[in-house]
Amino acid sequence: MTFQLPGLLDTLLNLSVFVFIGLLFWLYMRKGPEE
Amino acid sequence: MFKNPILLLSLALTGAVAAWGMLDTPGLAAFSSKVIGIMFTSRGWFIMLSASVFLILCLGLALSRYGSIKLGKDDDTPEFSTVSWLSMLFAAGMGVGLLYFGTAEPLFHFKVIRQYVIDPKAADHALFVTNFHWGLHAWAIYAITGLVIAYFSFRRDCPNLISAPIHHVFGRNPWTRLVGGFSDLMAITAIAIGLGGSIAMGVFQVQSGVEALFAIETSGLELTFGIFALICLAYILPLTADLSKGMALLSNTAMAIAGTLMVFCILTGPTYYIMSAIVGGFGDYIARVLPHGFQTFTFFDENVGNWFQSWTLTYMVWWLAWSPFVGVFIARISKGRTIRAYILGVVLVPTAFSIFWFGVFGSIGFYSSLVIDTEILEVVRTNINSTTFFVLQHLPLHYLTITATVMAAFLFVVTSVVSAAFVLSMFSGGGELNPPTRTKLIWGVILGALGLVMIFSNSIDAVKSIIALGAMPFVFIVWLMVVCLLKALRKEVVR
Repeated sequence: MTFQLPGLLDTLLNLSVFVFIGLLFWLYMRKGPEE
Repeated sequence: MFKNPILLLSLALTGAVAAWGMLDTPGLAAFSSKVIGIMFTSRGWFIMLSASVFLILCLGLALSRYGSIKLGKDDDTPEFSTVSWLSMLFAAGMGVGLLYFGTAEPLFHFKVIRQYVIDPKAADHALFVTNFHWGLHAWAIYAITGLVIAYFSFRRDCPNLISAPIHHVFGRNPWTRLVGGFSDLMAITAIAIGLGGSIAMGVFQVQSGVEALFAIETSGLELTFGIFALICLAYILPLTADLSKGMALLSNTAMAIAGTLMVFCILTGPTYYIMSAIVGGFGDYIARVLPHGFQTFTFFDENVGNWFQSWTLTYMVWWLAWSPFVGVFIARISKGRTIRAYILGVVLVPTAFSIFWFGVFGSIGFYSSLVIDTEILEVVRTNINSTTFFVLQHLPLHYLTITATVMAAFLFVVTSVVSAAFVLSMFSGGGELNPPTRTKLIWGVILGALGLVMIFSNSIDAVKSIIALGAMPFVFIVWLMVVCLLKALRKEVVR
């Protein structure tokens, strides 16, 4: 099941994870509509 | 019914997967194995990190001041006694997989690991890895999803939907509608595909049992389809009536058969060997479980890398696939308990039972391989479906035990499909607690079709990668749910 990844695809897949983690932090810190 | 876009989209999506699988099974299997290979190579670290963080978060929540918050209103009390709560938890979470993998999994790992270390160490490690797959991390994934659902539906009066926490915490706007709708859709897809795999595994298991019982070897698919048709008949009927009490009874019967089988194997198998393996297994597990949760086998060769992907990562994604389904069930039976009692019950007790179970069936497997030198490893290699029955054939009263195992596998699958069709109808019907029979039947048919696709693939590896593909997006959704929970808890304590 292991594949030799093209470098770009690997970078993009990981980049999306980093962006997602950043987004989670931002969502956690920001004030919601009722706060 | 046809005004609901989530229902239509989810039916279209799962129906399309089923149709693709029917028309071109090898194509679907090859596609999912390729995509999952790419995902696991690039994002494997994130899956392991997520599972470990969910576990640490669960334990942190149980020990923190949030632990005393009730899953329900402050004066709600638990609906079930602690013992029946725990037994229902376990039956929901593991089911047919335990019967299937009890002996097969530790022996499979043993075959791989013995290429690197001496046999006794390989056996130790194989048992540890199996316990790891079925232990705290698996239950933490279930617990956290169930916790979010229970908290928002019982304490905040939200509908029983994956999107409900998102709407509650972030308000209703086009973005949350989009993300919420997507989350519901992905939860439905993960459940439907995961259950399809469960049907296939159940059929494989029942078929091997019947073959062992009558000493026949079938080459065609006639027996497989016969069993499949029987399972479909058995679950379609209960879908047309409200038989929730009867279903609970059947599921408890399956659990009781599994428990009795375990005790029988301890007593009639090599008892000292089994008990020693269980005690050793507990010690090993406690000592190594947390660091192993972060183990990604980065510096090992391709053989180990492939093994890690097709077992550990697949399992973690597998638990995620089941988590919306099991989570809803766990949430429903846990109303009125505090977060602390909920987490300790959901995470610790089933893990202890798993270690016990694999200690029994794993050590019997090792005994047959290392002490009395049977050809069990060859059975694992050539026909993994029949491993459990191979073991039972070497113990007394095997006609009885094999029949009991076949019955338990059958009951586990039927009860899972009935509950899954209910949860799917609820999710796709906007959280409706009494979904219409017609919707339940449509889901029953789609689950059957997905099961058939997995049976056509005729390989447990293909089944695993198709499930993993269906569940992959759910890793991100669970994280989002966790953020919603933490924000809501923080606000509750401040208030």
